[in-house]
Amino acid sequence: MSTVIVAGASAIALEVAAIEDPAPGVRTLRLTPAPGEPALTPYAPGAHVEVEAGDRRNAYSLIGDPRDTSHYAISVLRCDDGLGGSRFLHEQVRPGDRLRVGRPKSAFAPPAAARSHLLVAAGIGVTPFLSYARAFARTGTPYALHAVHRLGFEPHAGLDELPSGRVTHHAGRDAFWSALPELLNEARLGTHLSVCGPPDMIESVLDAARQRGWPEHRLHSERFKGIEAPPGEPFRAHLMRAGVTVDVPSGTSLLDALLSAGAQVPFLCRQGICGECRVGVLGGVPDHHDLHLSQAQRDAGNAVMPCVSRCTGAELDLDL
Amino acid sequence: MNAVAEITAPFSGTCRLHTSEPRWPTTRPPLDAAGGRHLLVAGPDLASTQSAIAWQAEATAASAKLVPVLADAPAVGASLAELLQDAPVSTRLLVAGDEALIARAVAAGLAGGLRPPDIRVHLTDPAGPRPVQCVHCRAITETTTPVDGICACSGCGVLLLVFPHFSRRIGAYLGFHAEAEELA
Repeated sequence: MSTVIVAGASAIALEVAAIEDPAPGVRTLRLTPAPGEPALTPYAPGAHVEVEAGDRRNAYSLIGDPRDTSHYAISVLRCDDGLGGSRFLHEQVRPGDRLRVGRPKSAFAPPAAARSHLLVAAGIGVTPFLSYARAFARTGTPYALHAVHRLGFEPHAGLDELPSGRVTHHAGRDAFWSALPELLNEARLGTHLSVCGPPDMIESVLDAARQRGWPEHRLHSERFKGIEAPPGEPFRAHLMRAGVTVDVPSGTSLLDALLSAGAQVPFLCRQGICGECRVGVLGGVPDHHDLHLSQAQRDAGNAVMPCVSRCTGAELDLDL
Repeated sequence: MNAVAEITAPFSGTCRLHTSEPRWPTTRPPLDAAGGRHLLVAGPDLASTQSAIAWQAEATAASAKLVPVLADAPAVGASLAELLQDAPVSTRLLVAGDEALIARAVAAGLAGGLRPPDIRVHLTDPAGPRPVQCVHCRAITETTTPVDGICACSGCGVLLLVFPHFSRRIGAYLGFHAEAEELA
């Protein structure tokens, strides 16, 4: 990679055709191609797009019908303690404005082997399942969507458009936890479980399934919140191809150190989820904190996610 | 078996480097202790019975239920299909026996919604019968004829070449008329 990627090299300009606020703190943007821009493509259910939001680039699930190429729609939860991307989309964007949007990326497609789907969504985590539901309606695939809402919060709009009997609302996590064991025990062979929401919620649901005999290959999840990198110990990174050495002080991420030294490293989430910033490791032992690399990939020790991961020793040799 | 024999079948043109022929484990794998309900298919031979007993002990230790499926090879498919209907997600399948039993049980398991990681297999009699499906009449013949050998179809009587292709969906090797070229 030689250039800093801005919402993907194939990003296109989309016009904000309509804005709706389907629930408190949630803004839905309907996006259509600006004149002269290429047509939209269909996408896999559960796909997301990267959206340039002010000086941030955020990933949002596409919530429409995956085959409907007349427009894309995203739902943005306002995060006041976030990094500013969602605030920008809530406060600055008006109908008629143009946004740079990347091509859809599929990182959470429904498992093809599933005969039916048990979907669990917490809060705004319902968004990828909205496109699932529209795809399943077309194929006749059985599914049950369980949407967990914080007490006092309204469910995401669009859920009421889904066929009745498919969606169950749970007001508060306690109500959901008391219903979950029966859902897991009652599910028939061929069912796959997909969970989307905050990491602690996902882990708890998956653990409950494992305890009730669900095999790992039937469990799927997408995290909406990454991890915060620990400040860590200072170390040195050697950019072997460039012949440059970069000091990484405590409290500064390897990614930031590389970028300020002028290295060209593409990145996106900065939370150890997306895998965009992956850098090859030629020497030294990485201290992995990301969620992207599998255990086998970690054991191989030849790649690191510089946004959250560091170095267990004093020096790390990078393929840069 | 030397390398050349492994690659070249007795008749010309068949590459054996990439083959669909199954390699069933000949030692007993442990049951998946995470499973809640294990369906057990075991042949009548001593080695299969010993595997069944060992799996039963493992199931007891894991507080899991073990459900014996009482059926011979031709009937095992129907029995499993019935048991897998409305089975919970915690269901697993254990099979010990010859290839005829294993092939049919695994095919029925997959058809019933299990996936390969849910199935553990122990081939106790590698010299035992294997199922061969006739492409002409679709009958499945159980035969000890090895792959590349010739056997008579139990359905239409045609002499079948046991071809080195195994269908996991059907649970049988492919067999076709051994003299098909001469007849044409």
